Amino acid sequence: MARPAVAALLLVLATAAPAIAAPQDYQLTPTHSFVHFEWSHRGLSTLSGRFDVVRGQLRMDRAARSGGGLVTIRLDRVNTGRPALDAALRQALDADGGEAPSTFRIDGLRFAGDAPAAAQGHWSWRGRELDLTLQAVHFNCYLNPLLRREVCGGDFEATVDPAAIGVALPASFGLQGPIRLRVQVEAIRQEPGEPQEPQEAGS
Amino acid sequence: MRRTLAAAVAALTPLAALPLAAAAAPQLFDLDPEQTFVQFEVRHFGASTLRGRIGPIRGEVMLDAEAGRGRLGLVIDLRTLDTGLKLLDARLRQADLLDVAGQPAAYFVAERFRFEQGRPVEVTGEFTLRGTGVALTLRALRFACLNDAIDAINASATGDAGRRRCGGDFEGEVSRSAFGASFGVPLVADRVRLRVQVEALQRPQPR
Repeated sequence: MARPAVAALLLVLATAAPAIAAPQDYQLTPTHSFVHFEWSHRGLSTLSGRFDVVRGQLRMDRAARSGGGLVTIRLDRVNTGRPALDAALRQALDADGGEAPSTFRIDGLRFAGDAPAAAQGHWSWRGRELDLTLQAVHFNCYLNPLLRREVCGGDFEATVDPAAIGVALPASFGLQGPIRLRVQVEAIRQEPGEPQEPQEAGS
Repeated sequence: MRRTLAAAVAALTPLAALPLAAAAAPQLFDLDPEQTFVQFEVRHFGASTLRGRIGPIRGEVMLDAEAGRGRLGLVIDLRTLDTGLKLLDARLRQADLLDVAGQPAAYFVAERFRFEQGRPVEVTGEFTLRGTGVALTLRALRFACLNDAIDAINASATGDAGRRRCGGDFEGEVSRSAFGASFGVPLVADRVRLRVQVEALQRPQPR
């Protein structure tokens, strides 16, 4: 009689209290995970674009303040709303020959309190590699009422020099200066033994 | 709603015929569809920021920096909504959010401009979404002008040689509940930030 009660209590604690030190696995939700970027157009206005397909897994231990992960960003799915620019970007990114996955390997999460403050890692594709640290703008974990699962997510930012990743566009596009990355990410907590495969999550 | 825009456009048109006294005169600009988009941002469950892009935006702008006056009329085609995920686009288009089938366009018509050192820094007007008009102020994060002749390749291709190009980034905020687009409040925030990229080319002067 007492056993189920204890089990239920533990389940509640595991959901509500991240103070229990155990690494948890999370899977990115395609509906709330995008890499946006901003680039100055001729010093006048700022153009926004986006990589539409971002998948991956994270492991995080909020009590031990540690974590890491592996995120795949499809470079061929760059989307600025301007077809000619998208084609030029695919070419500049060496991503114009079909699927072009890039990998952001997160070697470490730096914490402030029980929330990640920065994600340090390496972004690589087709022999190009860039050390990249994403700074958290904000972060929160919540119990998603539809999924009945814990979801953690936030916004992360970094600035990248296009020359450092070998990206050169024809001057006629007028894009200049550093590229600002603005990353939206949310991830669903996985149960132990759950298969790690992409899923289309609602809400 | 269409009448609102038509009125704004009609109000703008006669200005083109005004005699021009050097630079100190109303200047008419047409938005550059390649560089004019709006992004909205809304916080999801206090965690991440959901973003969507709408555009290109069509419209025209009159600026008279000397007199400290301006006018603009913009048409925002909501059917161009793109969040990066078709599933999400379809959900946002539904009647309880953007209601794209019922009202396929949004409008921004503004006649209150504030200038500092010859540049517009604040634009206040009426933003109409789902057929409901609400006051909206956009603030400039940056704004500048240049002569488009320096972009020789583009200029010769588009006939824009020598035209003056002005543009910048503007931001504002609305409560989506004010337009009746309330689904999901407050788990998905009521406050929506609008981030506008805009560039415009000065219309050639009639001779």
